[in-house]
Amino acid sequence: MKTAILALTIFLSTAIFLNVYAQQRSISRHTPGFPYNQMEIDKEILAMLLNITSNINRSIFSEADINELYRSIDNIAKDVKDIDTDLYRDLEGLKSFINAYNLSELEAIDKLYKDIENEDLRNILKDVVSSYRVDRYVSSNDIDNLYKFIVEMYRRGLLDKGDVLKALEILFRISNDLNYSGLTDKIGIERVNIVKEIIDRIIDFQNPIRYPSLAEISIGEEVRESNVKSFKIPLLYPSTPSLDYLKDVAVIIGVSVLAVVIAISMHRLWRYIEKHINRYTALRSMSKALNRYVDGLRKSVVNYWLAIEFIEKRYGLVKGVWMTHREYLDRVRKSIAGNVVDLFSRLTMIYEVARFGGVEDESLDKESEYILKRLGEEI
Amino acid sequence: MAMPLAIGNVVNSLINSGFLIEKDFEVRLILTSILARGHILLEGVPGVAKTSMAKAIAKLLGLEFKRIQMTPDLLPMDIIGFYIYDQKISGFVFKKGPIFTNILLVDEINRASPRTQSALLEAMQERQVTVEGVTYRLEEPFIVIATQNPIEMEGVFPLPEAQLDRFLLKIVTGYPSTKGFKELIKYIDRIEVGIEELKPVLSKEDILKAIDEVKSVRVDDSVIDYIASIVEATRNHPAVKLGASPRAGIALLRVSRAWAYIDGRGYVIPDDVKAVARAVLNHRIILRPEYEVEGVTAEKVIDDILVKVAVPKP
Repeated sequence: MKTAILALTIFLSTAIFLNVYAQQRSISRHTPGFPYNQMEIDKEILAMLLNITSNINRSIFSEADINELYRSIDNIAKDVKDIDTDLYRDLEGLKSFINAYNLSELEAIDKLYKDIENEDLRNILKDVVSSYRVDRYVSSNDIDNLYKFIVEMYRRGLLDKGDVLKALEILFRISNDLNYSGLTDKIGIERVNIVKEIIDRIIDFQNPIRYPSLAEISIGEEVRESNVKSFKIPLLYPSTPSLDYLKDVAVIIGVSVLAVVIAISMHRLWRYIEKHINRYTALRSMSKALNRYVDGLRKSVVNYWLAIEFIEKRYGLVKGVWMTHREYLDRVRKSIAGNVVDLFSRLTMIYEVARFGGVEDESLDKESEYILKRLGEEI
Repeated sequence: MAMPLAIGNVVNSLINSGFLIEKDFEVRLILTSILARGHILLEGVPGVAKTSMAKAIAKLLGLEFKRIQMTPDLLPMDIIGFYIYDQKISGFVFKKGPIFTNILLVDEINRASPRTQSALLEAMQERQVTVEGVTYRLEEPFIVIATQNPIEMEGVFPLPEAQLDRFLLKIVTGYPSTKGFKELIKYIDRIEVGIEELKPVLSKEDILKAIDEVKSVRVDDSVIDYIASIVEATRNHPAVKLGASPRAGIALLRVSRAWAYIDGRGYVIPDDVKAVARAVLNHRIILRPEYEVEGVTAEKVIDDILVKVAVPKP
């Protein structure tokens, strides 16, 4: 019974830990020392993303398709949020881009404009967007200059992909609406390139050789030119191992310690309860046993068998049917220590004299009753 | 009850003297058998103190002790006695044989011819001998302690089962432990002299009185039931071809009484029955050959029975 309670406590503690803590989405599933390659990205979703970017005709995708795409990108964004913040920002931009897919030109431009996080970029686009809203003339030159300026800023690393994608989508829609077909194609291609870059980053995220981005130590410029023309040496980021898992280890140790403390407490509590239950059941069985033995038997004999029931229930020392009273006493002596043994030894001797010696002395009965009472207190 | 204490002194004297090393149980069984008026078959390989035990007990009890070395050419008259012509009285006189003693040690009983064995065993049973139509009662107490070597196979005449049943106990004695053996070697000179110089603790009359008192040791009906259950269990055990006889049950009761008496009790408890059951029953049951081949022994069967038969309850 004690073992069962201990096992149940440990099981419950483990279950609580697994349910409450381990199943939280915020908990990284990454095993320290292994690369981050656990995210599953549906290649079809990425193909669809590329398709909606490169296809001007929006009617080929249903709203359900777009919603599915949005959810998929959103899931990817959640997965990378704590690991790669740059990619997360890119994916947030991609989400805005997808969100605006089925909107009218004005609605889409307004939404995309508001979603741009970079204030400078918003100011740059402000005049063109305002003019377009009020149907004022916007020349292809203005759009082209703006396009070139934004691309240049992006190339210099001043803008992130998400904002650039939103800005290019705005210029693409305006250009397309004003029928600047050559310019529209050019912006469209660049817009597709940006989406491709984001897709590449998502795929790259799955690359098993990727290292965590913590504690990066730059050992050179981002891209170095090599002696071989058109071959660029990529920047190396040696990094220290992530210590994020220590937090999880601390939680596991904490829960384990708590489980052990609870288990010990439960064990002690059970022993306390068991002692009282045993006393209660022993008292109840005493009345039953008295009815069973008392007919024609000496009190000292009855008391001996009651003591055996006490000991059997309290210590689990069962008296085999083949075991004599002296053999059982030996067993008790080997298993129990203290007053219980002394009292039971004396009671056994009284039983022997009364039962087999045929000694009919009332003092034996009285002594046996006294011993039984003492045994009840001791047990 | 002064007598059990005195008997206890015999056991203690032998144990404390250090003359019989690791033979406490055997000594106690022999004394039990004497008090139960039964004969003892002592089985053991040569050199395990069988003779020393018998001699030491006889001396402490103040009883007359004689020894016969059995050989195949020994005749019944060599044991019982014979008539010889006496010229002084111009008639035949009875020359008593060594059987006229209190404790008779019959060494290697299985070496004697069946005729001699039978004559001895009849005398043991009847406690009297008849020669030329004249009956001579043997002096009480009369106890035969016969020894036999279990490994001798040639030149021996194994005792038939019916004759084995005449022995109250069969005590199987073995080698001492390493510690006991070392002690024995160390003090052998002192032990040999010591046994010869043992002084009686009891008189013959005390023994006869004790034998009489043993009969009054109380045996509860439940203990008799327990003895009966054990004896019946020997007949139902799968390894047993022939179980213990009613005589075995009577023997178990008598020996249990004597065992309890030596322990200083006036009543028998199931522990007494268990303590002597092996010695009383092991020569009284015949095992099935297929079990014997597998190494099952009478002792193992008895142990098996003792852990199955229920003791009296409540």
